[in-house]
Amino acid sequence: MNDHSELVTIISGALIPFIFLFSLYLMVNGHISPGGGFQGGAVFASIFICKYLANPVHDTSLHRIKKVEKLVLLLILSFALSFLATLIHSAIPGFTACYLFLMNLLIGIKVACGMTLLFFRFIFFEVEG
Amino acid sequence: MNGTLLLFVFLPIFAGLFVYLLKPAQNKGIAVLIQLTLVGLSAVWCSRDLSQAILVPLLQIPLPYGMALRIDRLGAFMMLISNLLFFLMVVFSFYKEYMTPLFLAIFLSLQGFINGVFLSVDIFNIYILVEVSTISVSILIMFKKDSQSMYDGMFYLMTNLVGMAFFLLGLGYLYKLFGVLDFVHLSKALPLLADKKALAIPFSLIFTGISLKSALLPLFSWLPKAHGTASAPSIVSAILSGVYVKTGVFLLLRVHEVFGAVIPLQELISVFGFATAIGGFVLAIAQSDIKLILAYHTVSQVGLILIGLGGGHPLNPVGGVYHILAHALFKGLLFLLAGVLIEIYGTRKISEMRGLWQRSKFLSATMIVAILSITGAPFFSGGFSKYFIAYGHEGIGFTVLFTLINAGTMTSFIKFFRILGGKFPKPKSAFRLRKNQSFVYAVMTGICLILGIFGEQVAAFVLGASLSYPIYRQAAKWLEYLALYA
Amino acid sequence: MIFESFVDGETISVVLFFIGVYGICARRNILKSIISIGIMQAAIILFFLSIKADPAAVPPIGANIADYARVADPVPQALMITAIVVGISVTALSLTMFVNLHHKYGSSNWNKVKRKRRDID
Repeated sequence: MNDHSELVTIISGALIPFIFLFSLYLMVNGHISPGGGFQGGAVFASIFICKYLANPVHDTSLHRIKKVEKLVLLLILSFALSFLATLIHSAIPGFTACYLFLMNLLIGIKVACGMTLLFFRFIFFEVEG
Repeated sequence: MNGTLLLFVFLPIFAGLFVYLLKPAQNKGIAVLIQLTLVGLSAVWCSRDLSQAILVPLLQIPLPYGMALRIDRLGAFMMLISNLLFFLMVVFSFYKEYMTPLFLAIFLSLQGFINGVFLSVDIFNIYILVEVSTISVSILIMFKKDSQSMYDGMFYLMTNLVGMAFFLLGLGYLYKLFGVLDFVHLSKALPLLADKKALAIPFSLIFTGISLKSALLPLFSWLPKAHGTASAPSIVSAILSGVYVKTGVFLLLRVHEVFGAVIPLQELISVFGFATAIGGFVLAIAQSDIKLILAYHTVSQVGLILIGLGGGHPLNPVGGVYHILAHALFKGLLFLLAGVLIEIYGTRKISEMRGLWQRSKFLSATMIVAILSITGAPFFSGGFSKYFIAYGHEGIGFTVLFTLINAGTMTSFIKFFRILGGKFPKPKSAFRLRKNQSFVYAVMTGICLILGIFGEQVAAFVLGASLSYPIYRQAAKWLEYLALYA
Repeated sequence: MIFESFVDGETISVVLFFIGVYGICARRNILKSIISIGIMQAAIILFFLSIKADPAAVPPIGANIADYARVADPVPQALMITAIVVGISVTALSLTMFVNLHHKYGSSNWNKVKRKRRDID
């Protein structure tokens, strides 16, 4: 990106807090209104894209994002398995809503990490061999 | 006990993640231990009385509204095959250099997804799991990222996506007609439909998707590229040929349970089976690359399984399903052998491989057992299942075609016998068979023999079927077999 | 009038699906194949969502949902969110593979790539 316009830089930088709030709203409202983990996570990933548009340098640590993503995947799987395998849902009423809320947040984080990694892989493509 | 069904799906994925994240020195040992647990569990499930399918609703929500896991005899049998093969593959490639944590993570997740396909009761679940396993398989095919495997992986991915898109559209029509998507309710609801002709579109779309997945006649061109690819590790080809192609056949069986009450499927499956079997070995004879011969041969054997499934006599489907087990083992063994042979000789062409009997008697013996199994010699697993696939067919047309298929199979494997003779071309390379590889070969060879000789007991254990093919009749078949070979 | 009764979600989605099938059969560019698969997936999503779709239906959210006559069916919507996710991930994977393929083979034409692949063997 040799000559990027200042308009794109400034506006995309200024939009980041609003996108962040909107993505959190989508993630949190998954169980009662349109939205959910995947949608909120995809919008969350656009924060990293806006940051790259504002300042096109490669200073995001992809290694750390990969670790976070795998850890969150582990958490998702363990929560899902423990919820399905035990009988908590009948013991505590209304637990299903809490479970959905938690899973939406975790899935949102994982999808955001995944989309960010995809974006950066496409931008900084290294040829191997 | 019913809760352990969830373990079949989640435990391999967990194992893969642990291996990737923690990276201790003994991470591969954890993988082997988990595989052993899964094999033991599936054997336990096979031994239970499963004449009625056991339905385990998740979260105790009844079926049209919730999800459930169902295990019946066919599902337990397929899971036993897949877990056993994954265990043997992980042990085989314990010391290889491509077993990086990432490879192992994807490989084990593939096992979890395949187990999920065998356990699920909802067609849409099956679609999602098959799509995710397609992604995993295409990543495994192109793992080494050189140009050949990149093309093969991409071709595989695109053809399978198109096939599953057809499948999903057929599912959409089914949902539009019935409003439910799980096998239990569909098989109850299908005969109640007033206008049976409305089922033509969903059935044809779903059948197109499934026949692409199980590589039937017009839609098998992705299989030689995916299974016989030059630089994929041999365990990937073995798992693909042994287990993954069988998920297509498994889906065909499930769809047959649902649609079979309304649409007559026997002749369709038989016709496709014959066409695939003949087309497969005709193309296999023309190949000179060892892995491509085996890959085209898989197509032919899947055709043979379908001949068994579409037969008229009630023992024929049992033979077909038994052939799934036999084929998984001997095709896996052949692919592993091919990998070792490529390492020893440094070339992929069969015409340049000679003198194996001189080099290593153990490998030669293993290869002889595998070839005898695949060509249907009595006392070996292939002969047992082929006897039951052809059981009860008296017509001249069937006999001619079946003999043609057997003869063609044997012809394509004559090239393998030539590897044994002759002199070893170059000085002995420093290749030595490690203990884990010898162990895996011995186990698989032993199982091929057991499946043939003790076939009745094995069939009673895993399938609950009572077949009677005693030893003396098997000995009498040797004369037929040798006559065909001459 | 007759024409308008034909133009509803299901027929449009079937037409779109077969446009996608034509695109993947008849085009030699690899990127066009990837786009055609995307068109096929979009057509399937449209098909599922237009099963018994009614403009007067109410979203299935809220406490007093039993008062309304027609409530939208949530099952196809949930299934299609999953299908969209799967579609995105396979598009991303195939695009990554395409970029790698282009760097290795230097061409984005199926026939040229196939010829080069055969020459390698």
